[in-house]
Amino acid sequence: MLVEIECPACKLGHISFEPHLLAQGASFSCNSCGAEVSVTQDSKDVLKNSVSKYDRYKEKLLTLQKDGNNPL
Amino acid sequence: MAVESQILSMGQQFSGLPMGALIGGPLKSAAEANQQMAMTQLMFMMDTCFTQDANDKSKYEPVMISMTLKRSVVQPSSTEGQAPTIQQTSTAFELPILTIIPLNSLAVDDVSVKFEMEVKSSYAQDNSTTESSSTAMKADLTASAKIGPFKVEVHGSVSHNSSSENKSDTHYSQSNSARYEVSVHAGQLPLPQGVKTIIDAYAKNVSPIVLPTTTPTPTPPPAG
Repeated sequence: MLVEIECPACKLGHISFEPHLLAQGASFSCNSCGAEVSVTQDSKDVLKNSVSKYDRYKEKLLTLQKDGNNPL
Repeated sequence: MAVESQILSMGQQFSGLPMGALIGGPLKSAAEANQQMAMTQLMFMMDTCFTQDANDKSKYEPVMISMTLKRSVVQPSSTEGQAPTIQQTSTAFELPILTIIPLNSLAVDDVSVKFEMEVKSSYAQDNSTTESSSTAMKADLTASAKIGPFKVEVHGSVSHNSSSENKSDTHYSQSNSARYEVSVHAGQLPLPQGVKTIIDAYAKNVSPIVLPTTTPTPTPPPAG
């Protein structure tokens, strides 16, 4: 699940990042200017918690989606 | 005409079917699942991406995460003739977690209900008539006579054979088939416009803004 944001440095390129990896401390760079973004140490736990909630939410949605596609 | 009446009418076959229940039922179930999904999405968004104000329960604050942006900046040399240096600068900025979590990729992608029914009706009739007759007749005749020195003998034979056969075969077959296929498709719904606007606003706030330089305002001379 890649998320793309506009590069805050050059505003020309985009930075694509993966939230799970971002939460683990990985950094991602802009495809135009090469600026790197990463999450700070004190925000890692917040992001990890959110990503874990997102995984549970995704699992629940997949179950609902399966029910919706096979209603009988 | 008698044969045609044996074939079932297709309209008759489908008229008794509870089409509303057959198509509407699954669609309703799918819609309910969709609704649950939307509610789950909303609950997740409010629980994960926002914090409720302790004093005012109607107020929600976005959960922010701090990020650092590192980039190289070419620093021109202060002395003429010296090569410029490249320095790495680091900028801290805050980003709402709402912009990090890919909410829209989890929506329902496809719901389809297919209903197929096939009715076949056929009728066949075989008629077979065989008539056969045979006639056989045979007669032998022998006669002799003597007249003076002559002797006459006559032999005769008559034979008759007749045969006739009639065969009639009728085969009638008719088949009707009809297929009803109903396909209901609900595609992926995009994020609501309101959520998009919030995410856009947050994303735009990531960009640094340049504050105007403050020039010292001249102090008016003391009166008197």
